[in-house]
Amino acid sequence: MSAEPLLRVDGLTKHFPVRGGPLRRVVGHVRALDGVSFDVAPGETFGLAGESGSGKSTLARIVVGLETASGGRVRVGDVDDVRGGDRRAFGRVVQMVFQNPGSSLNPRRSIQATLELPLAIHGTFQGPIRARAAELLEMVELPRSFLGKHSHELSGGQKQRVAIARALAVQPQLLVLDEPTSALDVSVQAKVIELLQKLRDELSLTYLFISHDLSLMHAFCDRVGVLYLGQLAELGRADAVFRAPRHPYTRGLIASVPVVGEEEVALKAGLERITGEIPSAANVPSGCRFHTRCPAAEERCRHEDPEFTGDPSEQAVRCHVHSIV
Amino acid sequence: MTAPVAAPVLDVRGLRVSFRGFEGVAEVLQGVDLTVGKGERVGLVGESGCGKSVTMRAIMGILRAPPARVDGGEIRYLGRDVLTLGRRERDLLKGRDLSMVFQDPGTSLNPVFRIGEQLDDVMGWADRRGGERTSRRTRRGRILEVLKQVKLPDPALVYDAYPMQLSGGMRQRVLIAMALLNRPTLLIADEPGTALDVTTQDEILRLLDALVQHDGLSMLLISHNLGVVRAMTDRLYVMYAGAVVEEGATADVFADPRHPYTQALLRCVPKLDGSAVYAGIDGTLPDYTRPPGGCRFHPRCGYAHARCSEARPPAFEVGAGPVAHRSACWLEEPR
Repeated sequence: MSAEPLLRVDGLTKHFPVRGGPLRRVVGHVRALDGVSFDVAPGETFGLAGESGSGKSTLARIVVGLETASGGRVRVGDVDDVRGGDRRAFGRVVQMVFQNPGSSLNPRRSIQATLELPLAIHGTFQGPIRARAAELLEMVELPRSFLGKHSHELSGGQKQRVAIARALAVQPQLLVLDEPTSALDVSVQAKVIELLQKLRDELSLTYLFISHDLSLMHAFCDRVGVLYLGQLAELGRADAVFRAPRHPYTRGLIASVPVVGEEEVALKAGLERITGEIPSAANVPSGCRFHTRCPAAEERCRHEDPEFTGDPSEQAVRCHVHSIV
Repeated sequence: MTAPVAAPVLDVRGLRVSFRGFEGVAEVLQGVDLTVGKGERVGLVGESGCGKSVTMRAIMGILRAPPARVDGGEIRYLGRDVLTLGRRERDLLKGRDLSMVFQDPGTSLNPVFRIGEQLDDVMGWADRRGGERTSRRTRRGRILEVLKQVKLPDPALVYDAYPMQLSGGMRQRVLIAMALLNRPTLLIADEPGTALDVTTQDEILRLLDALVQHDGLSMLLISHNLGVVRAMTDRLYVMYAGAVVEEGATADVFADPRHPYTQALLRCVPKLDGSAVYAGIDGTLPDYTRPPGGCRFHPRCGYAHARCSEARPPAFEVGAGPVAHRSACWLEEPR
């Protein structure tokens, strides 16, 4: 990893208050994120995996500034996090592609208007805006004739390409991709991923890629982090984490992935499955928060919260039993 | 691995279904052949819009007609053509012998009724139709037993719970219990567990598999996930644009996919070892109101030649194993 990270997430915490009783008093907190730290180098693709309820979407929303953190910091390049800062300056460096292109594009706006809006808001682009919209479409491999269309005339894959083009309009450095292909069929997903790889290389983009598809993550990401109940359980180079997962949660996740080939079956051999469902973030277990589902849990896991061991640029794990010495 | 036996539980022959709409007639199913033998686990795979749900709905008799119309073919259940049965007989069949596990645990249960009431409805209805009079108490016993079978902790609590009080995984278990309640012979599972996390999906699939094997049920599993179908079935059918393009023993098809579509689809699936080649498939699914002539895959096929656009290829035998392996592609025509 290079010396200066593009994205620095430092001790990020997000607590949502839970209100109850006749006076709507705060009776507790949903700890969606509880001290998450990682760095992403320029040009790197960092993947965040985890089940629903692990906090991965909350993290994505904080990184793009759609949500404010309760604690900790997010810094992208030279721009510090949104609180008190310049929201617009932040928007020029970080953009987001949402999960469902059907609802993230405005149905009343033409594709041209969709692509011109961010250019108009930021006002940084010098030159004919219309030509820029056509150029953006070309970048995502759609014909210029699409400018006059509306989103309902497009297929799911085409809509997602427009959403990517819109995110690229202001020439950001970091793209946050929140499950960008999970609503698409595999043959379409393959095409969109191919496009994202091409754009990353041509425009030297940095990606924060959120997904629950571990196989896709292994192929697409340089480094990955596995989130469980608002904390990272394991972090490291994609190949290291997928070939030799250490945290029982990562191991369980990989063990449950449906696969299509014999080579993949070999990767799942010897991994312990996990059972049960993720507990509520309003009621986080004591000690290591995974101990309630962990096949390797010991007595100390119930009381002591483990620390990270290892090197996050290679492989680091937050587990008493499988620590890296 | 079980080979289809002489009298299959389900035998679909030349099923054709079309839809009438503003854009004209959409000829969706163009002659689907499919069998499920006794105790066999069969998969039906394909991407959205390939016709797998229409096939399933036609089998269950829950196609909305109009706009849908069955234009031809037979659906034989234990030898009887269900398309010619009277409505009453058909209803009886689908409430008891044929049952279904629905996909979305969030919307397939009624939020204002307790789980127990909803299960009791299903069971009481089938009992009445079968001419039996059962008391709510005896049904409750059976319901609790099935809730236990699907490994729900504390069945009595679940019986009195509302759907919103249960997690997604628990609701999916309730839907499986509902499908097993009337002791069916054929279970149709439509994308079970797709809406759930991988770990929960894995648990649900294992449970379903254990129950099917334990009771010797026949199962037709509909899924877009090739990995799920590989783990859960003995034999499979691959559908594209309203037709079966390849069929065979699951192990054979994964080891040696023959149809260009099956091959392309398998290449698109991301692999756990990170080795995926992102080939993708160019183009999109054809418009059913104006489908391409000949093989419907030919506009997107890398191997297409003149003949592919002229005539529809029949299913050619391509395997040497005990279970028929067929591919509907002109490349396989014996010379």
